[in-house]
Amino acid sequence: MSENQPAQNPAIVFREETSDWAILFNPQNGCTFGLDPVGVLMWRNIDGVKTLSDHVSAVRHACEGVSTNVAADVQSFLADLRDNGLVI
Amino acid sequence: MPSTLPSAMTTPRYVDLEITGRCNLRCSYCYHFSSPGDVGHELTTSEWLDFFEELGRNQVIHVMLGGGEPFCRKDLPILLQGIAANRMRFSIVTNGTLLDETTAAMVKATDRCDMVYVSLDSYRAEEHDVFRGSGSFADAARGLEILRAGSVPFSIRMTLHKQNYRALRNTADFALQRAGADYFSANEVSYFGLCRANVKDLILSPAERSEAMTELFLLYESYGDRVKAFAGLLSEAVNWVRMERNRQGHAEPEEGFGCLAGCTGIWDTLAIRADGAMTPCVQLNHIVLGWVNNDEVAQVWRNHQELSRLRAGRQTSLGTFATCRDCEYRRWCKGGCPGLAQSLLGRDNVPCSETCLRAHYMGGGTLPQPAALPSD
Repeated sequence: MSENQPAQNPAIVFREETSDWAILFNPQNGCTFGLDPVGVLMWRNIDGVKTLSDHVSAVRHACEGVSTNVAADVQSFLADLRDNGLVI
Repeated sequence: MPSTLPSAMTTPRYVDLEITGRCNLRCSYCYHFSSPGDVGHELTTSEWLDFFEELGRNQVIHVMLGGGEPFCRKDLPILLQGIAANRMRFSIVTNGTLLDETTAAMVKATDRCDMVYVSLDSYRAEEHDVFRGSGSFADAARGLEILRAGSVPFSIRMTLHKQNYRALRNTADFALQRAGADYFSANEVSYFGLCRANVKDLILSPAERSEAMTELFLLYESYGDRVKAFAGLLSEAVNWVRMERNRQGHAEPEEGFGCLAGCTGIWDTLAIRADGAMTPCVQLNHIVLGWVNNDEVAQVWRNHQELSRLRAGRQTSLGTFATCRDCEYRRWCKGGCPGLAQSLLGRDNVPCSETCLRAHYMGGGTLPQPAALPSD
């Protein structure tokens, strides 16, 4: 496990609010973090093994009309998760 | 405008638990006693713990413990540990009189407590005790001190009635300055439970309600977000002020207004009676949707026809009701609380007369003109 291979924080509750939107809930501090369908896809793929480029590929594979900035977007998303203690 | 129904969440995000039906007090306006939730039987420790596991599996994130008086349960430490073990947070609604250093430390130690809501009806003992019982102010004040000393997050909730609404300012000052509460909020007594037998002495008139609303906005100006408007009279005042401004400005109505959409709880919250009955709300606790540890929460939440019926209120235009048809506020109104409508009118699928702005005006009420509105 490293910064390049993020893993889900096991304390976090992944709550599927609807069929494709979700929130991440940290019961230790009560904070919630909303996930859109792409965020849900990425969260499910975070396993402590996959790298940034794996996540970028997964998004490209699953989504249509992906932005040319997708790598930066994915990196930013993972940084947000890390900053909020959601991944380790 | 009536709208297409949004999808309900896959499971409830929040659950309100009447963790016990017992209480050491008999407040004259208690919503619980003599309501359908006033049942003799309550779930055992192991039954609650089994249920908390199911809530955890369903990714419920918060439970509100009320009743009854939660601190009447001697097994509360075990129950709170069960809630925390299943990755939920909790809040407690209490009269504060049974708190001691040990219980406060226990609550703190869980590290999962969002708030302890303590009922306090006045800064003066005689005014608090008149409907809650002799000595209850002293006991509650001691409880508040214990919570503060133990660094437990706590909030004071004042229940407004004819005898105490003029003490609003001083009670809020007491709560936020002297007692050191994180927040202050004010509900008003309503047509539930024991209050139904004491309406004449308790329920605010439109003029009294107007006075209390004005004071609440002034308190908000003084204390900002430490005065909460998530429910109760300030919340209602905010809704009414918005409705009046929208009417005067001929604002385009937003989706979800002009129909029976006053209840948001049926979209994210389930309630459980002390005996384990699942209900849509503590104020609609005559509707039994299923039974704890017998029926699956997720199935009840998604498929029960009574919840579907209540949610479908959003497709019922207020214009279909004779009481609303010619109302100039109708397009910006949501019809109020179905639980209160049930209690007052015997039906939950009609607009609630008690939270009607036009009825407030017709009864002699006025609306404050606040400089700023609380966000929620």
